[in-house]
Amino acid sequence: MKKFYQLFKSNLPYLVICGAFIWACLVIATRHAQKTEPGIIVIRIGHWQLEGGVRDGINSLAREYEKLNPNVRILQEAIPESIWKQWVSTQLMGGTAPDLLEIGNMESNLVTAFYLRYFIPLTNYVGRPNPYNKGTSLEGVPLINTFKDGMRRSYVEENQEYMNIPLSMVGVRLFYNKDLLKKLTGRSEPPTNYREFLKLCEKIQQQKHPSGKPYIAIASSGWHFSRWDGALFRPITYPVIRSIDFNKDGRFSKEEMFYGVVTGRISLDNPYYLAYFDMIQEVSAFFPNGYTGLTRDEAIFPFAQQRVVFIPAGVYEIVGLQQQAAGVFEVGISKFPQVDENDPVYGKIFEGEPYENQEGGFPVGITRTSRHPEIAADFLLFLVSQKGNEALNRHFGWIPIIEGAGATPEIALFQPNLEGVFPAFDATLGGETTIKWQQLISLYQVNQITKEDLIKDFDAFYRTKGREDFDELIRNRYRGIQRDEQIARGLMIRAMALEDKPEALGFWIKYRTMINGRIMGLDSQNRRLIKAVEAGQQEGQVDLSEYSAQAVARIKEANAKGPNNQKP
Amino acid sequence: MNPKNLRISVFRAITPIPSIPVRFNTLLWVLLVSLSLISCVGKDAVHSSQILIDTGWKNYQLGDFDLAVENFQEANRLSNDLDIKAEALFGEASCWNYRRQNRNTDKARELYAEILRLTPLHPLIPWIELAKVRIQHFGKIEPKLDYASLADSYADVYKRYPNHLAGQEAFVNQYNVLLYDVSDDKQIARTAIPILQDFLTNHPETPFLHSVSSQLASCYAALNKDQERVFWMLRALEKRELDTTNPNADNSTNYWNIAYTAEFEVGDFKLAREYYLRLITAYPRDQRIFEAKTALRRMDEVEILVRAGRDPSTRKEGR
Repeated sequence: MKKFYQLFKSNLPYLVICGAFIWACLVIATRHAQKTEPGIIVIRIGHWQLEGGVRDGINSLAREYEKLNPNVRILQEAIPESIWKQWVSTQLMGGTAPDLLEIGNMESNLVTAFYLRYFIPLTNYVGRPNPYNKGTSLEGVPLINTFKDGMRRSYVEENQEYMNIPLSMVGVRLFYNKDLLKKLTGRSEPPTNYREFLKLCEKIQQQKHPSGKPYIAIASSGWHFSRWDGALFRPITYPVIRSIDFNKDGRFSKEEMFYGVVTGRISLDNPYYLAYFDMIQEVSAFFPNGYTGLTRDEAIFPFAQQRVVFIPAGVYEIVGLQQQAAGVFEVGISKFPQVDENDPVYGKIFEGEPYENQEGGFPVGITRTSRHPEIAADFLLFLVSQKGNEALNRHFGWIPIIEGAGATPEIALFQPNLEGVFPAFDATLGGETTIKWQQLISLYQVNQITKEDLIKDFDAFYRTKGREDFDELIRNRYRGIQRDEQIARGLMIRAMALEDKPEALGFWIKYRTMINGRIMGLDSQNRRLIKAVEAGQQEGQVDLSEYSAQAVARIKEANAKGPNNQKP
Repeated sequence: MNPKNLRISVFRAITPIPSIPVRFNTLLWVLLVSLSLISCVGKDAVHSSQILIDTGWKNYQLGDFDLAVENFQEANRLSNDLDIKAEALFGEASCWNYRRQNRNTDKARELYAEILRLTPLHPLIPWIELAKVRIQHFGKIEPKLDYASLADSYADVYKRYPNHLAGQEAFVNQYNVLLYDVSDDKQIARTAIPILQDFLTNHPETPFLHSVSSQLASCYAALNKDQERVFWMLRALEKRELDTTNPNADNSTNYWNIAYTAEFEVGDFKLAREYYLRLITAYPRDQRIFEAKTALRRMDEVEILVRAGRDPSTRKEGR
């Protein structure tokens, strides 16, 4: 026995190695057997969404799909976000990527390179109706028109093709601890009026936690601040756009803000920007001390520990927050509070609630190495059918991206506001101004400097170093033009290769759109902008939203004839 | 049969010309086999070159410029056909011209010159001439150029190829360069109008109707001729080639521009209302819907003010 033990002991490392080897072989063999089950087609889907509900949702829809297609098996591979980039790169380069792959969570240039090299264009599907919409209100409707976001983010300019299909929509709202809110304020839901909300926060912070420390009204971090910034603070600056819309396209750009400041059309202490700075201080007074140094996860802890009432969060965080609160407290969801025209301070400048862009999330593409791309596409169409997408997003707890797909009442609160104002403030023109702005705004957020100091310090910097950033921004635009020239040449060659075939016209149109619209149009605009910035304020220049003398004369003439003769 | 006689019989049976001596027949055989081999190899070379060129363009589109250059160079090396060589050289030149890393526009120019030398009548020549001017325009990250010289270079391409797409594109580019800020230069607007109108008369089917119409609208705006300006804006919209497969290419900004111009600069509220409404109806998710609806209310207010004998500027800003 002793001899046997000695023998065993001396050979233990070899036995372990052999055991591991045999185990690995068995795993591979079983997996191989699973893949190669006779007559069965296996479709793999890879993603990084580890949030509760996502895997269940995909599994549930996969089983339904398998019932309709008994020869298909859907397997999913949920990969942690932290190793997603490395995993995807290895899988794609090694030719072992799943058939369906979520796309993103890496640098945009890498995403583009992967699209071009490893994914199949889905353009052929977007114009055709989704067969799984038969019998619904979307029967016969082209796939692209069934998406709430019009599949705008699925289109890749570099190859002028649709490369992914999004499964959900994203949005941000204010989450709150219902029980704690009731206990501290007697209310079951928060007010949506800005002033009332501030009063409520004050009331919350006047009360003390059993530990003796005061309650905090709003959980926050540098990351959470940006949620408030986009949803409440910045949109108040909207009216500035009418003074700086240099290209008169009705949209804001940061170079237009620079143009506005250096030409004297606006100053950084205009009433709208002042209101913006004031709102930051008013709301952040209810954030925890030193919140700018906290990470996103650190901000969530006190919410889970019932020391904080409110936290802004994305739709994809609903299930996670609910799981943390399960059995302890109930999580409520509300829209962000908003200013209105009766506000004693901001009422005069308030124009409307913020516009919320509808953006697709969870974009999925089909890899070139897929052995059954048509089955993969069919499963994808199943997931974005009206019924499929509704069921999928019910599991996810997210917003369906397909028109008419129903959502739970709490998700209905995430429906975006499509008629509203948008920010007309962005001081981050380039590297220098971004660093300076972040330094100053951080100091301002924690009351280290006043609003006046913030404006004074930044204004001086913006006018001098900002010019360097502006020049670099223009140079970057020309780099973009060089990229577009490269794409345009590819389009021209594709058009030429098709000779007289009808499809050639489509490529010629794309080519001309690229050359005339994007390249030459941007070149002219850059030159005009540089000229305007260099010239400064020109004499006699009227506000961009004022009626010209000619216009006034014509309006008077037309209205002299009587009312309503100008209606179309 | 004697084996020697058998060999001779077989050889005679397959000799091309039995009347001439065997050794000449042997030579003839060698020649025939060689010729057929050469012809096969020649065919393969053309075929391979074409495949290599196609592969080169595929690699170009994937951004694999080093591979694409190799493909084009190999295609050029394998082929003696001048057209194929020109295509291969054009592909290689495009790689050097449009790649972002290791871009070499001098090399591209050299290759373009070689094509011109080899096949001066090749169908790609107008595009090559245009590409050379575009190197002058966008070859370097330099927003300030000698724009007069650049416009002349574009003009030269149009002058040489007025009926070719490349020539017409050069014409449009020439006037984009010249009219970038036409509002500051009435004289250039006066000069440009008849030339642009001539272009439209001479090329009624040109795909550049939209661009030239827009340029005419800018010229008339500079001269404060509102009726003509609006006419050409509308004409530009009508003639716009819309890439219906691109979700980011739509008419929303055109509608916005017409509405905005009609409201603030021309004072044509009927037209302004029509195009604000078109924007609202056709693009209900557009970011500018709020402002378009604000504009509709604003115009109603302005009309009330004007009818009351007051000036529109007394109206409250924006809202």
